[in-house]
Amino acid sequence: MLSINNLCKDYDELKLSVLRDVSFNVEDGEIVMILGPSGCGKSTLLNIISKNIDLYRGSVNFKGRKLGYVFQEDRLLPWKSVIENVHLVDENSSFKKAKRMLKAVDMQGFENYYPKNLSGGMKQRCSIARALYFGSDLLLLDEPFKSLDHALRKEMLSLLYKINRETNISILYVTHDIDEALTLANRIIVFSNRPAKIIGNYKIEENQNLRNLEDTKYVELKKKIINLLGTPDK
Amino acid sequence: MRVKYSLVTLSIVMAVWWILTKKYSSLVIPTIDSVFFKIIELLTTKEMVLEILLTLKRLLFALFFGSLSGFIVGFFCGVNTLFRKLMKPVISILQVTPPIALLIMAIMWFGFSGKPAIFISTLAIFPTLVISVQEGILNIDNKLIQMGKTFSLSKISVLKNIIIPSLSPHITTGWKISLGVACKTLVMGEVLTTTTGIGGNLSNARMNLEPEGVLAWTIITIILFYFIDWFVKILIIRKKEKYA
Repeated sequence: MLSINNLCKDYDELKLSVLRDVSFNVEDGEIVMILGPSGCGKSTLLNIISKNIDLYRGSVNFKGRKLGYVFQEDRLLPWKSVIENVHLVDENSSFKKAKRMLKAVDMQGFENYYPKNLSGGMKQRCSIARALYFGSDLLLLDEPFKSLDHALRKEMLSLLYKINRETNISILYVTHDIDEALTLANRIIVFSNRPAKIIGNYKIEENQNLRNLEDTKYVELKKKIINLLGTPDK
Repeated sequence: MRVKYSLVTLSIVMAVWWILTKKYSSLVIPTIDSVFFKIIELLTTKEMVLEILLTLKRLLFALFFGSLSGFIVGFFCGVNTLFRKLMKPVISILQVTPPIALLIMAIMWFGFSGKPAIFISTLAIFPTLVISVQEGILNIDNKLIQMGKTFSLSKISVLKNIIIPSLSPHITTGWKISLGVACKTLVMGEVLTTTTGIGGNLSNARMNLEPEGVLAWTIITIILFYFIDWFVKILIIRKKEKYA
């Protein structure tokens, strides 16, 4: 689905090196979580993949049809209703399809609400529906649940898992939260501090919604990752 | 609720007016009923209604020219830093130049007609509209533009769905301010340059020593302002209330 080879990104004017020789693949239907300290360059990676950043070295090869992006903030248009926000990204498709996508993220009944009337979790559900409605086969998520409380975050991770199982959509999710990564990922790629390099790559075979993180294998993996990152889990 | 508060304010103004009429002669402060009957008389006389419509026409011309030029210049000031820097002194000069100075020049160019009034009214609202459009453009949320780009929205879709609605609150505020300024400067221009329109008749009433006429025309100007303001509210602001 996505293959990234020797990706490097420098900001010459700031004398800042952000990404160093980053290479990995995302397979069809796979959930890959990029885990790294805040500010290490995870969002830059997604911006390169989504073509919001043009200048870089290395190659990004996306073999799917469309990329959907769920941003850190919901980025919904406040002057449009929920269904209009979803429908906006593909005006040739029907409102019926938009309604179906909203139903898939448990937002039925809220179609005519405006973003100001929605909670943080609902807004993020709406932006997931928007990315799905766009017809994406790869979903990029940039710490989308950062501002949500623990219970709501778990609920949203469970929703993503269900969407992935039902639609076989590939997911590339960046986060700095180890528990989030352990809960959902098929593969965890660990980034170092800036300039970000891949310092760990772990495959998790178990397919289960909301894994039990108290299980010994996850406790061990968490310890390993914490050691790699060199800082305690935030 | 808003009507309730407006009625309270109006009652206080009327009470003060009534007290003043008891203290001063009707030549200085005309009585409430004389002004009221004068307004009815003016609004029921065909010639006078035509005079009001003439002012309305001039006002719409001024708003049209002022808005068109203000939006175009404001747009370029918003998107181009060099143009913004070049225009800054022009906008500042127009903001502080007394309309009366411009009016004298306009009389020399256009003669004694309604045109100088339209001209100064246009120039009076121009800087406000330039600044509101410019600030609107500078304050567009880049993250929303980036969202549009990520989801491959066409340029027209970005303009229609993101840029114009982002500008709307700034333009609405600029327009609301401009409407009052345009009304005031237009009537002032009419008073000094013509015998037609509300301003011309206001001037006639002054010369004929008819204080109730002066106040009646002033109140008609205020009603005209509220009428246009209400119309703008229906057109733009009602839609905005749903999400704001």
